[in-house]
Amino acid sequence: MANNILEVHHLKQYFPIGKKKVVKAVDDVSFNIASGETFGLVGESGSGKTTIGRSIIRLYKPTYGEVIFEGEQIAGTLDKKRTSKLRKDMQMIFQDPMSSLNPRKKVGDIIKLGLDIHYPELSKEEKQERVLKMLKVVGLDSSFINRYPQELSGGQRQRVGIARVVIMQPRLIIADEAISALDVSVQAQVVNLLQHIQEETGSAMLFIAHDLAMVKHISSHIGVIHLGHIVESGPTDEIFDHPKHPYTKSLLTAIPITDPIAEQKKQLSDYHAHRHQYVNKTMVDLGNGHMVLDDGSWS
Amino acid sequence: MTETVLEIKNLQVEYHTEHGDVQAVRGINYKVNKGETVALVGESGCGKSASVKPIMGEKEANQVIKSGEINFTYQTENGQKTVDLLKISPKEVQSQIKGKEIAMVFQDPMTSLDPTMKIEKQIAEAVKASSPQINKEQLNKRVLELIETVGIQNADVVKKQYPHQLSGGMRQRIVIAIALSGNPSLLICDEPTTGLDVTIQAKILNLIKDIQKSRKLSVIFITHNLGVVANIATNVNVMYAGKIVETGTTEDIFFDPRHPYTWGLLESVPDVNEAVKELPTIAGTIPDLTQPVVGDAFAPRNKYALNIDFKEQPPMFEVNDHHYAATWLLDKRAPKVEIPTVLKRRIEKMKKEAEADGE
Repeated sequence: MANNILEVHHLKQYFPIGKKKVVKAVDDVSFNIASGETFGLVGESGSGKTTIGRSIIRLYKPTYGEVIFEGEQIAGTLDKKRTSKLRKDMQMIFQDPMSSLNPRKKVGDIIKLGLDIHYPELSKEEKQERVLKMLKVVGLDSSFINRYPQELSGGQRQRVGIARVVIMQPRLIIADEAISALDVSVQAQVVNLLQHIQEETGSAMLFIAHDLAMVKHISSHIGVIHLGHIVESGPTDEIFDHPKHPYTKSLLTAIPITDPIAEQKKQLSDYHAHRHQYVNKTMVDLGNGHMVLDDGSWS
Repeated sequence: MTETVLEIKNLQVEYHTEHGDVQAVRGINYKVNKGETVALVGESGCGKSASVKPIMGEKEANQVIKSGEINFTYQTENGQKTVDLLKISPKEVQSQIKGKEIAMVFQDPMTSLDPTMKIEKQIAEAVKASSPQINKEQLNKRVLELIETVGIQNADVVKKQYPHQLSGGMRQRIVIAIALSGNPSLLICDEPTTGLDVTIQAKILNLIKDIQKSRKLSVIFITHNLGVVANIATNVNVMYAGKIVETGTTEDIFFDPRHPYTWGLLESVPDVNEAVKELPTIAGTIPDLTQPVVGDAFAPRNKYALNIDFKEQPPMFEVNDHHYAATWLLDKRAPKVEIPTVLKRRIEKMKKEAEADGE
């Protein structure tokens, strides 16, 4: 287990609403990410996939559970050293590149900000050099350094969002629906870019998305999340070839494919579940790391 | 006998902006026949939405229609009538066409519904707009009917709710119900499933198909998702930079694509059944349409571009009598170019599966 960069054990993230009610956005979720590997998290909107990403990077304080990042417990109260490590070594790419980039700052300054904060010892020239190098890595030319986010196209903005993350040389990148707002052709460009960067830097990635085809392409392992619970997880091929949980099956049959004949014959598998169905259920190991939630609704 | 419901001829639309005049639609032609679903596909900024807005008589302050005809044929009490939607007055469009004969479903159901109004009232308003004479009892009946038509079971409960109390999929069903309130013959869907989850998307697509079959509707379906096109369309128009670059039946486009842009779009959709190390992409971005386009607008991004592509706009070459593509590669003098191997393999596999299923 030593090569796990991230271990999440029984993570729960509850949000109080009003005086008595609690929304259990994430309820007892566990998974590991090995170093250099991409873990895909898929599920419908409202399933809690974004919340998991945000709890891990500590935009929220987890209600319960353990999050171990490179051997350090980061779920509880954070001391200075851990905060600094977390902010440096774990980075997040957001869905909407427009709202996540400061519109009043130039692209160069946006990319440089992390260095300014965490590497004050670097000289101005060194920082500038790294920013230029980073622009090149993400396929933008050096003229972009003086441009503002609103002057860029969606794909270019997302490249800036990636440059800002990668310049920190993070050990773990959390990509939260990083490509959903982009055109198909641009999605493919950004995904290729992420993979190249990963190959070079060895960063691990938590890839959160609802587009299963893209998740399959980029991830070595995936977790399928539904109603705040992981219902199935394991090696990507295993899950796509032998899905076990009815929710996973319903997701897989719903992917639109570019085959008109198959599409027109397609039978949807409908699946409904209630939150309470998943509570206090355990994951069953089917071998090869393929785990499925034993919720009693299937055999 | 195929009945043409809508025929667009040489439509050119420009937008005046502070950066110059954007030639959003540069002369497009297509037909929509009765009971057909015609898909418009392409990247954002290709003029998909700009080309359907004039159909609904939606005119923005900076929009200029440079030329073209939009001939719409519909049934009136006095028999069939054909009008050019660009010639008749906005008032006529409003009173006779919009909502009654042609209705539209937009991408984001939250913005097309009024957040302060209960569902039943919103649908009732739409019904009243198309049939002002309706009495209260009939109106209530019609509202319930419409909610049930779009596959909502507990119509009694849903009609009393506000949009924010419904899920995204439910809201889109309500928007479809409103669109159907005037019994239109043509439905325009602009990315209706784009913000939805795959499972919900699949259900909404099925709903649109069911409604279309039962009402013999004609549909124009705008999307950038080729999987969705494969699911819903009978005919496909691939758009690039304000022009249709390839048109054909769904089978033509998916089994025998000819334009390198269509290849690029198809290729960049990852295949769930086959792993590739790196996804094929279309290099570059769409051109700046404030500048005049010389030759084929796609040429700078096209790895198969010939010299002539940079000089002269290719005409629509005929592949067969329903399949046309605007690429010089189809000229007799052009060198023979094979379609990309990934795509070729995918198509062969699809054909085999189709044959195996047919037996």
